[in-house]
Amino acid sequence: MKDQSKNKTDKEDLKWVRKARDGHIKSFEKLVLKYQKRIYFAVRKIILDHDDTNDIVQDTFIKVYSNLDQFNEQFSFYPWLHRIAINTTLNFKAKSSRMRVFSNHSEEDDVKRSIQSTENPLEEVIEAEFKERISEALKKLPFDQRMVFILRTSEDLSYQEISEQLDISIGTVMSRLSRARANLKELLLK
Amino acid sequence: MSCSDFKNKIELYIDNELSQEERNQLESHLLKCPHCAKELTNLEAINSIGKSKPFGEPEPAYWQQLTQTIMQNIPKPRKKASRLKEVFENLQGILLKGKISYRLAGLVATAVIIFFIIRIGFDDRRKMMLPDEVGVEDAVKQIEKQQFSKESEMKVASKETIAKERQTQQTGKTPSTVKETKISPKSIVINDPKHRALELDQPAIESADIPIVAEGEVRASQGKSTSEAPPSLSEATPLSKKKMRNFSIQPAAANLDQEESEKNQMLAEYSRDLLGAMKKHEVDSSKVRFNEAMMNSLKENQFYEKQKIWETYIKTEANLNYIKAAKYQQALLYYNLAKKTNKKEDIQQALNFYFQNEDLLFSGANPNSVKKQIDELETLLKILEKNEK
Repeated sequence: MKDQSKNKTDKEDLKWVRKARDGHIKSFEKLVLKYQKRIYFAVRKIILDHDDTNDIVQDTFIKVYSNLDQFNEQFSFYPWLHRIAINTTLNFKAKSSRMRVFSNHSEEDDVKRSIQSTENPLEEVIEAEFKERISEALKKLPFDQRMVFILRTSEDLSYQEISEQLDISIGTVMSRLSRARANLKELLLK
Repeated sequence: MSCSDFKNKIELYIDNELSQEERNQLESHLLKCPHCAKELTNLEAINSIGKSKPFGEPEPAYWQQLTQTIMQNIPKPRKKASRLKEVFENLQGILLKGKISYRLAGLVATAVIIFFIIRIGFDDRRKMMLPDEVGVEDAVKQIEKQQFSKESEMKVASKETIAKERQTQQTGKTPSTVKETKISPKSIVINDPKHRALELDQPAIESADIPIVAEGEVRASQGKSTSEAPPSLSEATPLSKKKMRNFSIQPAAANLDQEESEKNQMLAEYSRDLLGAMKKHEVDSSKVRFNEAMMNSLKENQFYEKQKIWETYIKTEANLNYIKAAKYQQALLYYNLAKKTNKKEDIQQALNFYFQNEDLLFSGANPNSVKKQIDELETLLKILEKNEK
Protein backbone atom coordinates (compact mmCIF):
# COMPACT_ATOMS: atom_id res chain seq x y z
CA MET A 1 0.00 0.00 0.00
CA LYS A 2 2.84 2.29 0.96
CA ASP A 3 4.70 1.41 -2.23
CA GLN A 4 1.62 2.10 -4.32
CA SER A 5 1.11 5.57 -2.86
CA LYS A 6 4.85 6.26 -3.20
CA ASN A 7 4.73 5.26 -6.86
CA LYS A 8 1.71 7.48 -7.38
CA THR A 9 3.56 10.41 -5.80
CA ASP A 10 6.63 9.76 -7.94
CA LYS A 11 4.57 9.60 -11.13
CA GLU A 12 2.78 12.82 -10.28
CA ASP A 13 6.05 14.60 -9.47
CA LEU A 14 7.64 13.33 -12.66
CA LYS A 15 4.74 14.59 -14.72
CA TRP A 16 5.11 18.07 -13.24
CA VAL A 17 8.88 18.03 -13.59
CA ARG A 18 8.63 17.18 -17.27
CA LYS A 19 6.08 19.89 -17.89
CA ALA A 20 8.16 22.41 -15.95
CA ARG A 21 11.17 21.51 -18.11
CA ASP A 22 9.07 22.37 -21.13
CA GLY A 23 8.41 25.80 -19.72
CA HIS A 24 5.06 25.24 -17.98
CA ILE A 25 5.56 27.36 -14.91
CA LYS A 26 2.29 26.33 -13.32
CA SER A 27 3.57 22.78 -13.07
CA PHE A 28 6.58 23.96 -11.14
CA GLU A 29 4.32 25.98 -8.90
CA LYS A 30 2.48 22.75 -8.05
CA LEU A 31 5.76 21.21 -6.93
CA VAL A 32 6.50 24.28 -4.82
CA LEU A 33 3.08 24.16 -3.18
CA LYS A 34 3.45 20.47 -2.50
CA TYR A 35 6.89 20.54 -0.90
CA GLN A 36 7.58 24.02 0.42
CA LYS A 37 6.31 23.31 3.94
CA ARG A 38 8.25 20.09 4.25
CA ILE A 39 11.45 21.73 3.08
CA TYR A 40 10.79 24.74 5.31
CA PHE A 41 10.56 22.61 8.44
CA ALA A 42 13.51 20.43 7.47
CA VAL A 43 15.68 23.52 7.11
CA ARG A 44 14.18 25.38 10.08
CA LYS A 45 15.07 22.59 12.48
CA ILE A 46 18.69 22.94 11.40
CA ILE A 47 18.97 26.68 11.01
CA LEU A 48 16.35 27.56 13.66
CA ASP A 49 15.96 31.16 12.48
CA HIS A 50 12.82 31.90 10.45
CA ASP A 51 14.29 34.60 8.21
CA ASP A 52 17.34 32.54 7.30
CA THR A 53 15.10 29.55 6.64
CA ASN A 54 12.95 31.70 4.37
CA ASP A 55 15.99 32.73 2.31
CA ILE A 56 17.30 29.18 2.07
CA VAL A 57 13.94 27.74 0.98
CA GLN A 58 13.60 30.36 -1.75
CA ASP A 59 17.15 29.73 -2.97
CA THR A 60 16.51 26.00 -2.93
CA PHE A 61 13.49 26.13 -5.21
CA ILE A 62 15.17 28.59 -7.55
CA LYS A 63 18.15 26.24 -7.83
CA VAL A 64 15.85 23.31 -8.38
CA TYR A 65 14.10 25.08 -11.23
CA SER A 66 17.40 26.13 -12.80
CA ASN A 67 18.70 22.57 -12.64
CA LEU A 68 15.63 20.60 -13.63
CA ASP A 69 17.51 19.30 -16.67
CA GLN A 70 19.90 17.54 -14.32
CA PHE A 71 17.20 15.66 -12.45
CA ASN A 72 17.50 11.92 -13.05
CA GLU A 73 14.03 10.58 -13.72
CA GLN A 74 14.97 7.14 -12.44
CA PHE A 75 14.90 8.47 -8.89
CA SER A 76 12.27 10.18 -6.75
CA PHE A 77 11.98 13.93 -6.84
CA TYR A 78 11.79 14.70 -3.12
CA PRO A 79 15.20 13.21 -2.12
CA TRP A 80 16.81 15.26 -4.89
CA LEU A 81 15.01 18.39 -3.72
CA HIS A 82 15.99 17.64 -0.12
CA ARG A 83 19.62 17.20 -1.07
CA ILE A 84 19.65 20.60 -2.76
CA ALA A 85 18.03 22.12 0.32
CA ILE A 86 20.70 20.68 2.61
CA ASN A 87 23.52 21.81 0.32
CA THR A 88 22.01 25.28 0.19
CA THR A 89 21.81 25.26 3.99
CA LEU A 90 25.46 24.25 4.27
CA ASN A 91 26.54 26.92 1.80
CA PHE A 92 24.49 29.49 3.63
CA LYS A 93 26.07 28.58 6.91
CA ALA A 94 29.58 28.63 5.46
CA LYS A 95 29.14 32.02 3.88
CA SER A 96 27.04 33.66 6.52
CA SER A 97 29.00 36.29 8.34
CA ARG A 98 26.53 39.07 8.16
CA MET A 99 25.36 40.86 11.28
CA ARG A 100 22.14 39.46 12.64
CA VAL A 101 19.46 41.88 11.51
CA PHE A 102 16.73 42.43 14.01
CA SER A 103 13.92 40.28 12.74
CA ASN A 104 10.31 41.36 12.64
CA HIS A 105 9.42 37.77 13.14
CA SER A 106 9.65 36.77 16.73
CA GLU A 107 9.93 33.16 17.72
CA GLU A 108 8.01 34.00 20.84
CA ASP A 109 5.14 34.97 18.54
CA ASP A 110 5.27 31.46 17.07
CA VAL A 111 4.94 29.99 20.53
CA LYS A 112 2.20 32.40 21.63
CA ARG A 113 0.24 31.72 18.46
CA SER A 114 0.30 28.03 19.18
CA ILE A 115 -1.14 28.70 22.64
CA GLN A 116 -3.98 30.91 21.47
CA SER A 117 -5.23 28.42 18.95
CA THR A 118 -6.16 25.67 21.40
CA GLU A 119 -8.93 24.93 23.78
CA ASN A 120 -6.85 24.05 26.82
CA PRO A 121 -4.55 26.98 27.56
CA LEU A 122 -2.90 25.46 30.64
CA GLU A 123 -1.74 22.34 28.83
CA GLU A 124 -0.58 24.43 25.96
CA VAL A 125 1.43 26.72 28.23
CA ILE A 126 3.24 23.69 29.60
CA GLU A 127 3.79 22.36 26.13
CA ALA A 128 4.97 25.77 24.97
CA GLU A 129 7.49 25.96 27.80
CA PHE A 130 8.73 22.48 26.93
CA LYS A 131 9.06 23.50 23.27
CA GLU A 132 11.03 26.54 24.29
CA ARG A 133 13.41 24.44 26.34
CA ILE A 134 13.93 22.11 23.40
CA SER A 135 14.45 25.05 21.09
CA GLU A 136 17.06 26.52 23.44
CA ALA A 137 18.82 23.17 23.75
CA LEU A 138 18.95 22.77 19.96
CA LYS A 139 20.31 26.29 19.59
CA LYS A 140 23.14 25.47 21.94
CA LEU A 141 24.18 22.43 19.95
CA PRO A 142 27.09 23.11 17.56
CA PHE A 143 25.82 23.43 14.01
CA ASP A 144 27.58 20.28 12.76
CA GLN A 145 26.06 18.17 15.50
CA ARG A 146 22.61 19.66 15.04
CA MET A 147 22.75 19.02 11.30
CA VAL A 148 23.57 15.34 11.72
CA PHE A 149 21.05 14.93 14.53
CA ILE A 150 18.19 16.42 12.52
CA LEU A 151 19.08 14.52 9.35
CA ARG A 152 18.97 11.28 11.33
CA THR A 153 16.01 11.78 13.62
CA SER A 154 13.77 14.11 11.63
CA GLU A 155 14.65 13.36 8.02
CA ASP A 156 15.28 9.67 8.70
CA LEU A 157 18.46 9.44 6.64
CA SER A 158 20.77 6.48 7.25
CA TYR A 159 24.39 6.93 8.33
CA GLN A 160 25.46 6.22 4.75
CA GLU A 161 23.08 8.80 3.32
CA ILE A 162 24.17 11.43 5.83
CA SER A 163 27.80 10.64 5.09
CA GLU A 164 27.23 11.16 1.34
CA GLN A 165 25.11 14.24 1.82
CA LEU A 166 27.59 16.03 4.05
CA ASP A 167 30.70 14.53 2.48
CA ILE A 168 32.03 13.19 5.77
CA SER A 169 33.02 9.72 6.88
CA ILE A 170 30.52 7.39 8.56
CA GLY A 171 32.73 7.45 11.64
CA THR A 172 32.33 11.19 11.83
CA VAL A 173 28.55 10.86 11.41
CA MET A 174 28.40 8.45 14.34
CA SER A 175 30.69 10.56 16.48
CA ARG A 176 28.74 13.79 15.88
CA LEU A 177 25.43 12.04 16.46
CA SER A 178 26.62 10.55 19.71
CA ARG A 179 27.94 13.89 20.93
CA ALA A 180 24.71 15.64 19.91
CA ARG A 181 22.64 13.20 21.93
CA ALA A 182 24.94 13.45 24.95
CA ASN A 183 24.86 17.25 24.79
CA LEU A 184 21.09 17.39 24.46
CA LYS A 185 20.68 15.07 27.38
CA GLU A 186 22.91 17.26 29.50
CA LEU A 187 21.20 20.47 28.41
CA LEU A 188 17.71 19.19 29.04
CA LEU A 189 18.50 17.70 32.41
CA LYS A 190 19.81 21.01 33.74
CA MET B 1 29.28 -9.82 25.25
CA SER B 2 29.43 -7.55 28.29
CA CYS B 3 26.84 -4.99 29.27
CA SER B 4 29.06 -2.13 28.10
CA ASP B 5 29.33 -3.76 24.66
CA PHE B 6 25.55 -3.86 24.44
CA LYS B 7 25.28 -0.30 25.70
CA ASN B 8 27.51 0.89 22.85
CA LYS B 9 25.15 -0.73 20.38
CA ILE B 10 21.97 0.91 21.64
CA GLU B 11 22.45 4.00 19.47
CA LEU B 12 23.02 1.83 16.42
CA TYR B 13 19.90 -0.08 17.38
CA ILE B 14 17.61 2.93 17.46
CA ASP B 15 19.17 4.16 14.22
CA ASN B 16 18.44 0.80 12.49
CA GLU B 17 22.10 0.24 11.77
CA LEU B 18 22.39 -3.23 13.31
CA SER B 19 22.11 -6.53 11.50
CA GLN B 20 19.15 -8.75 12.34
CA GLU B 21 21.33 -11.05 14.42
CA GLU B 22 22.75 -8.14 16.43
CA ARG B 23 19.26 -6.75 16.96
CA ASN B 24 18.05 -10.08 18.31
CA GLN B 25 20.99 -10.30 20.71
CA LEU B 26 20.47 -6.79 21.97
CA GLU B 27 16.73 -7.24 22.42
CA SER B 28 17.34 -10.37 24.48
CA HIS B 29 19.77 -8.43 26.64
CA LEU B 30 17.36 -5.53 27.09
CA LEU B 31 14.80 -7.88 28.57
CA LYS B 32 17.26 -8.80 31.31
CA CYS B 33 19.14 -5.54 31.89
CA PRO B 34 17.19 -2.60 33.38
CA HIS B 35 20.15 -0.21 32.97
CA CYS B 36 20.38 -0.75 29.25
CA ALA B 37 16.60 -0.65 28.96
CA LYS B 38 16.61 2.73 30.67
CA GLU B 39 19.39 3.96 28.39
CA LEU B 40 17.24 2.95 25.42
CA THR B 41 14.27 4.87 26.79
CA ASN B 42 16.41 7.96 27.33
CA LEU B 43 17.82 7.81 23.83
CA GLU B 44 14.38 7.40 22.33
CA ALA B 45 13.24 10.48 24.23
CA ILE B 46 16.19 12.45 22.91
CA ASN B 47 15.42 11.23 19.41
CA SER B 48 11.88 12.47 19.67
CA ILE B 49 13.27 16.00 19.99
CA GLY B 50 14.39 15.74 16.42
CA LYS B 51 10.93 14.73 15.30
CA SER B 52 9.23 17.54 17.20
CA LYS B 53 8.74 21.10 15.99
CA PRO B 54 10.13 23.26 18.79
CA PHE B 55 8.71 26.38 17.19
CA GLY B 56 5.27 27.44 16.06
CA GLU B 57 4.11 27.32 12.48
CA PRO B 58 4.17 30.52 10.47
CA GLU B 59 0.81 32.08 9.64
CA PRO B 60 -1.09 30.67 6.63
CA ALA B 61 -0.52 33.87 4.68
CA TYR B 62 3.23 33.23 4.86
CA TRP B 63 2.99 30.13 2.64
CA GLN B 64 1.16 32.01 -0.11
CA GLN B 65 3.74 34.76 0.07
CA LEU B 66 6.58 32.25 -0.08
CA THR B 67 5.17 30.59 -3.19
CA GLN B 68 4.67 33.96 -4.82
CA THR B 69 8.21 35.09 -4.08
CA ILE B 70 9.70 31.86 -5.42
CA MET B 71 7.66 32.02 -8.64
CA GLN B 72 8.59 35.64 -9.19
CA ASN B 73 12.29 34.88 -8.84
CA ILE B 74 12.67 31.78 -10.96
CA PRO B 75 14.31 32.30 -14.36
CA LYS B 76 12.02 32.84 -17.34
CA PRO B 77 10.62 29.70 -18.97
CA ARG B 78 12.63 27.95 -21.64
CA LYS B 79 10.61 28.80 -24.76
CA LYS B 80 13.59 28.02 -26.94
CA ALA B 81 13.66 24.44 -25.77
CA SER B 82 9.95 23.96 -26.43
CA ARG B 83 10.28 25.48 -29.88
CA LEU B 84 13.16 23.21 -30.67
CA LYS B 85 11.15 20.34 -29.29
CA GLU B 86 8.30 21.20 -31.63
CA VAL B 87 10.66 21.19 -34.56
CA PHE B 88 11.98 17.78 -33.58
CA GLU B 89 8.51 16.43 -32.99
CA ASN B 90 7.49 17.57 -36.46
CA LEU B 91 10.59 16.02 -37.96
CA GLN B 92 9.90 12.84 -36.08
CA GLY B 93 6.38 12.80 -37.52
CA ILE B 94 7.69 13.20 -41.06
CA LEU B 95 10.33 10.52 -40.62
CA LEU B 96 7.95 7.95 -39.23
CA LYS B 97 4.76 8.62 -41.11
CA GLY B 98 5.45 10.75 -44.18
CA LYS B 99 6.05 9.72 -47.78
CA ILE B 100 9.44 8.30 -48.66
CA SER B 101 10.63 11.49 -50.31
CA TYR B 102 9.57 13.48 -47.29
CA ARG B 103 11.32 10.99 -45.02
CA LEU B 104 14.56 11.34 -46.90
CA ALA B 105 14.29 15.10 -46.77
CA GLY B 106 13.55 14.82 -43.04
CA LEU B 107 16.65 12.69 -42.47
CA VAL B 108 18.86 15.16 -44.27
CA ALA B 109 17.33 18.08 -42.36
CA THR B 110 17.88 16.28 -39.04
CA ALA B 111 21.52 15.61 -39.87
CA VAL B 112 22.10 19.25 -40.83
CA ILE B 113 20.42 20.54 -37.66
CA ILE B 114 22.46 18.21 -35.43
CA PHE B 115 25.67 19.32 -37.15
CA PHE B 116 24.94 22.99 -36.56
CA ILE B 117 23.86 22.46 -32.96
CA ILE B 118 27.13 20.75 -32.18
CA ARG B 119 29.06 23.46 -33.97
CA ILE B 120 27.19 26.30 -32.26
CA GLY B 121 27.52 24.63 -28.88
CA PHE B 122 31.27 24.40 -29.28
CA ASP B 123 31.56 28.03 -30.41
CA ASP B 124 29.30 29.25 -27.61
CA ARG B 125 31.45 27.48 -25.11
CA ARG B 126 34.53 29.16 -26.40
CA LYS B 127 32.82 32.56 -26.49
CA MET B 128 31.52 32.15 -22.95
CA MET B 129 34.98 31.54 -21.62
CA LEU B 130 36.90 34.53 -20.43
CA PRO B 131 39.95 35.42 -22.49
CA ASP B 132 42.22 34.32 -19.66
CA GLU B 133 40.35 31.02 -19.35
CA VAL B 134 40.81 30.47 -23.07
CA GLY B 135 44.44 31.41 -22.63
CA VAL B 136 44.77 29.06 -19.69
CA GLU B 137 42.98 26.28 -21.54
CA ASP B 138 45.29 26.78 -24.50
CA ALA B 139 48.24 26.84 -22.14
CA VAL B 140 47.18 23.59 -20.51
CA LYS B 141 46.67 22.02 -23.92
CA GLN B 142 50.10 23.19 -24.98
CA ILE B 143 51.71 21.79 -21.86
CA GLU B 144 49.92 18.48 -22.36
CA LYS B 145 50.83 18.45 -26.03
CA GLN B 146 54.44 19.21 -25.29
CA GLN B 147 54.53 16.67 -22.51
CA PHE B 148 53.04 14.09 -24.84
CA SER B 149 55.50 14.97 -27.53
CA LYS B 150 58.32 14.90 -24.99
CA GLU B 151 57.20 11.47 -23.85
CA SER B 152 56.89 10.19 -27.38
CA GLU B 153 60.27 11.70 -28.25
CA MET B 154 61.74 10.02 -25.21
CA LYS B 155 60.20 6.75 -26.30
CA VAL B 156 61.46 7.27 -29.82
CA ALA B 157 64.85 8.33 -28.44
CA SER B 158 65.03 5.27 -26.24
CA LYS B 159 64.04 3.03 -29.14
CA GLU B 160 66.61 4.74 -31.32
CA THR B 161 69.21 4.41 -28.59
CA ILE B 162 68.48 0.71 -28.27
CA ALA B 163 68.55 0.31 -32.03
CA LYS B 164 71.83 2.22 -32.25
CA GLU B 165 73.35 0.20 -29.46
CA ARG B 166 72.50 -2.93 -31.34
CA GLN B 167 73.94 -1.37 -34.46
CA THR B 168 77.11 -0.48 -32.56
CA GLN B 169 77.37 -3.99 -31.27
CA GLN B 170 76.88 -5.36 -34.72
CA THR B 171 79.05 -2.97 -36.70
CA GLY B 172 81.43 -1.59 -34.04
CA LYS B 173 80.66 2.00 -35.10
CA THR B 174 79.17 4.65 -32.76
CA PRO B 175 76.15 6.38 -34.35
CA SER B 176 75.37 10.09 -33.93
CA THR B 177 73.58 10.99 -30.71
CA VAL B 178 69.89 11.78 -30.62
CA LYS B 179 69.07 15.43 -30.41
CA GLU B 180 67.05 16.05 -27.26
CA THR B 181 64.18 18.42 -27.45
CA LYS B 182 63.90 20.78 -24.54
CA ILE B 183 60.56 22.05 -23.53
CA SER B 184 60.65 25.73 -22.98
CA PRO B 185 57.84 27.05 -20.87
CA LYS B 186 58.40 30.37 -22.51
CA SER B 187 56.64 28.98 -25.53
CA ILE B 188 53.58 28.74 -23.33
CA VAL B 189 51.25 31.70 -23.19
CA ILE B 190 53.03 33.64 -20.44
CA ASN B 191 54.47 36.04 -22.99
CA ASP B 192 51.23 36.30 -24.87
CA PRO B 193 49.87 39.81 -24.25
CA LYS B 194 46.39 38.38 -24.21
CA HIS B 195 47.22 36.23 -21.25
CA ARG B 196 45.77 37.88 -18.19
CA ALA B 197 47.38 35.86 -15.45
CA LEU B 198 48.83 39.01 -13.91
CA GLU B 199 45.41 40.42 -13.50
CA LEU B 200 44.22 37.32 -11.78
CA ASP B 201 44.42 37.63 -8.08
CA GLN B 202 46.00 34.28 -7.38
CA PRO B 203 49.25 32.43 -7.11
CA ALA B 204 48.78 30.92 -10.55
CA ILE B 205 50.86 27.88 -9.85
CA GLU B 206 49.17 24.54 -9.67
CA SER B 207 50.48 21.15 -8.89
CA ALA B 208 48.66 17.90 -9.45
CA ASP B 209 49.75 16.38 -6.18
CA ILE B 210 49.74 19.54 -4.15
CA PRO B 211 46.42 21.29 -4.58
CA ILE B 212 47.00 24.93 -3.80
CA VAL B 213 44.78 27.74 -2.73
CA ALA B 214 42.51 28.58 -5.66
CA GLU B 215 41.73 32.07 -6.81
CA GLY B 216 38.67 32.67 -4.69
CA GLU B 217 40.29 31.13 -1.67
CA VAL B 218 43.40 33.31 -1.85
CA ARG B 219 41.25 36.37 -2.35
CA ALA B 220 39.31 35.49 0.76
CA SER B 221 42.46 34.73 2.67
CA GLN B 222 43.86 38.09 1.71
CA GLY B 223 40.82 39.70 3.27
CA LYS B 224 40.26 41.82 0.19
CA SER B 225 36.90 43.55 -0.05
CA THR B 226 34.77 40.55 0.68
CA SER B 227 31.73 40.65 2.80
CA GLU B 228 32.65 37.32 4.23
CA ALA B 229 34.53 37.13 7.48
CA PRO B 230 36.62 34.03 7.93
CA PRO B 231 34.74 31.39 9.90
CA SER B 232 35.30 31.75 13.61
CA LEU B 233 36.85 28.95 15.57
CA SER B 234 33.64 28.40 17.47
CA GLU B 235 31.88 27.55 14.22
CA ALA B 236 34.59 25.10 13.20
CA THR B 237 34.47 21.63 14.65
CA PRO B 238 36.51 21.70 17.85
CA LEU B 239 39.39 19.26 17.58
CA SER B 240 39.97 16.73 20.25
CA LYS B 241 43.33 17.53 21.78
CA LYS B 242 43.23 14.23 23.63
CA LYS B 243 44.00 12.61 20.33
CA MET B 244 47.19 14.62 19.96
CA ARG B 245 50.25 12.49 20.43
CA ASN B 246 53.72 13.95 20.61
CA PHE B 247 56.13 12.84 18.02
CA SER B 248 59.70 13.92 17.93
CA ILE B 249 60.49 11.86 14.84
CA GLN B 250 61.67 13.87 11.83
CA PRO B 251 59.30 13.79 8.91
CA ALA B 252 60.08 10.78 6.76
CA ALA B 253 61.65 11.71 3.45
CA ALA B 254 59.37 10.71 0.59
CA ASN B 255 60.36 10.63 -3.03
CA LEU B 256 57.79 11.66 -5.59
CA ASP B 257 57.30 9.54 -8.62
CA GLN B 258 59.43 10.43 -11.63
CA GLU B 259 56.42 11.56 -13.66
CA GLU B 260 55.11 13.81 -10.89
CA SER B 261 58.50 15.42 -10.39
CA GLU B 262 58.79 16.13 -14.12
CA LYS B 263 55.40 17.76 -14.11
CA ASN B 264 56.35 19.82 -11.08
CA GLN B 265 59.55 20.91 -12.78
CA MET B 266 57.58 22.18 -15.72
CA LEU B 267 55.13 24.00 -13.49
CA ALA B 268 58.02 25.48 -11.52
CA GLU B 269 59.54 26.82 -14.72
CA TYR B 270 56.20 28.21 -15.81
CA SER B 271 55.75 29.93 -12.49
CA ARG B 272 59.26 31.37 -12.68
CA ASP B 273 58.22 33.37 -15.70
CA LEU B 274 55.05 34.45 -13.96
CA LEU B 275 57.07 35.47 -10.93
CA GLY B 276 59.39 37.56 -13.08
CA ALA B 277 56.43 39.33 -14.57
CA MET B 278 54.91 39.91 -11.13
CA LYS B 279 58.14 41.44 -9.83
CA LYS B 280 58.34 43.61 -12.88
CA HIS B 281 54.84 44.90 -12.31
CA GLU B 282 55.49 45.36 -8.56
CA VAL B 283 52.71 43.13 -7.45
CA ASP B 284 52.27 42.84 -3.67
CA SER B 285 55.56 41.59 -2.22
CA SER B 286 53.91 39.03 0.07
CA LYS B 287 52.28 37.44 -2.93
CA VAL B 288 55.57 37.42 -4.78
CA ARG B 289 57.33 35.76 -1.84
CA PHE B 290 54.53 33.22 -1.47
CA ASN B 291 54.77 32.27 -5.13
CA GLU B 292 58.52 32.07 -4.85
CA ALA B 293 58.18 29.64 -1.96
CA MET B 294 55.62 27.62 -3.93
CA MET B 295 57.91 27.50 -6.93
CA ASN B 296 60.85 26.34 -4.84
CA SER B 297 58.71 23.75 -3.09
CA LEU B 298 57.58 22.38 -6.45
CA LYS B 299 61.16 21.99 -7.57
CA GLU B 300 61.99 19.83 -4.59
CA ASN B 301 61.27 16.12 -4.50
CA GLN B 302 61.99 15.52 -0.85
CA PHE B 303 59.17 15.96 1.66
CA TYR B 304 61.58 17.24 4.30
CA GLU B 305 63.07 19.83 1.95
CA LYS B 306 59.65 21.10 0.95
CA GLN B 307 58.67 21.51 4.59
CA LYS B 308 61.88 23.43 5.26
CA ILE B 309 61.09 25.83 2.43
CA TRP B 310 57.67 26.61 3.87
CA GLU B 311 59.08 26.99 7.40
CA THR B 312 61.68 29.44 6.15
CA TYR B 313 59.05 31.38 4.24
CA ILE B 314 56.73 31.56 7.25
CA LYS B 315 59.51 32.93 9.47
CA THR B 316 60.12 35.79 7.05
CA GLU B 317 56.46 36.60 6.33
CA ALA B 318 54.52 39.24 8.24
CA ASN B 319 51.22 39.00 6.39
CA LEU B 320 49.00 36.70 8.45
CA ASN B 321 46.84 35.62 5.53
CA TYR B 322 49.85 34.40 3.61
CA ILE B 323 51.15 32.62 6.69
CA LYS B 324 47.83 30.82 6.89
CA ALA B 325 48.07 29.86 3.21
CA ALA B 326 51.59 28.55 3.76
CA LYS B 327 50.48 26.52 6.79
CA TYR B 328 47.78 25.00 4.63
CA GLN B 329 50.39 24.01 2.05
CA GLN B 330 52.40 22.38 4.81
CA ALA B 331 49.33 20.56 6.07
CA LEU B 332 48.70 19.27 2.55
CA LEU B 333 52.23 17.89 2.40
CA TYR B 334 51.64 15.93 5.60
CA TYR B 335 48.22 14.85 4.39
CA ASN B 336 49.50 13.67 1.00
CA LEU B 337 52.37 11.80 2.61
CA ALA B 338 50.01 10.03 5.02
CA LYS B 339 47.63 9.09 2.22
CA LYS B 340 50.48 7.85 0.10
CA THR B 341 52.20 5.68 2.70
CA ASN B 342 49.13 4.72 4.74
CA LYS B 343 51.45 4.28 7.72
CA LYS B 344 50.18 4.88 11.22
CA GLU B 345 53.11 7.10 12.21
CA ASP B 346 52.65 9.32 9.14
CA ILE B 347 48.92 9.66 9.79
CA GLN B 348 49.53 10.53 13.44
CA GLN B 349 52.20 12.99 12.44
CA ALA B 350 49.80 14.64 10.02
CA LEU B 351 47.07 14.86 12.64
CA ASN B 352 49.58 16.33 15.12
CA PHE B 353 50.38 19.04 12.63
CA TYR B 354 46.71 19.84 12.15
CA PHE B 355 46.06 19.98 15.90
CA GLN B 356 49.13 22.10 16.60
CA ASN B 357 48.12 24.61 13.94
CA GLU B 358 44.36 24.43 14.20
CA ASP B 359 44.00 28.16 14.90
CA LEU B 360 45.70 29.17 11.69
CA LEU B 361 44.24 26.39 9.56
CA PHE B 362 40.63 26.86 10.60
CA SER B 363 40.77 30.62 10.28
CA GLY B 364 42.34 30.38 6.83
CA ALA B 365 40.67 30.13 3.47
CA ASN B 366 40.01 26.40 3.53
CA PRO B 367 38.34 25.43 6.82
CA ASN B 368 36.04 22.95 5.13
CA SER B 369 38.88 21.23 3.31
CA VAL B 370 40.85 21.10 6.55
CA LYS B 371 37.91 19.50 8.34
CA LYS B 372 37.51 17.00 5.53
CA GLN B 373 41.20 16.09 5.60
CA ILE B 374 41.17 15.61 9.38
CA ASP B 375 38.07 13.42 9.17
CA GLU B 376 39.70 11.30 6.51
CA LEU B 377 42.91 10.86 8.47
CA GLU B 378 41.04 10.02 11.67
CA THR B 379 39.01 7.41 9.84
CA LEU B 380 42.15 5.92 8.30
CA LEU B 381 43.79 5.79 11.69
CA LYS B 382 40.80 4.06 13.25
CA ILE B 383 40.82 1.46 10.51
CA LEU B 384 44.55 0.82 10.95
CA GLU B 385 44.18 0.56 14.73
CA LYS B 386 41.26 -1.79 14.35
CA ASN B 387 43.22 -4.00 12.00
CA GLU B 388 46.10 -4.11 14.47
CA LYS B 389 43.78 -5.46 17.13
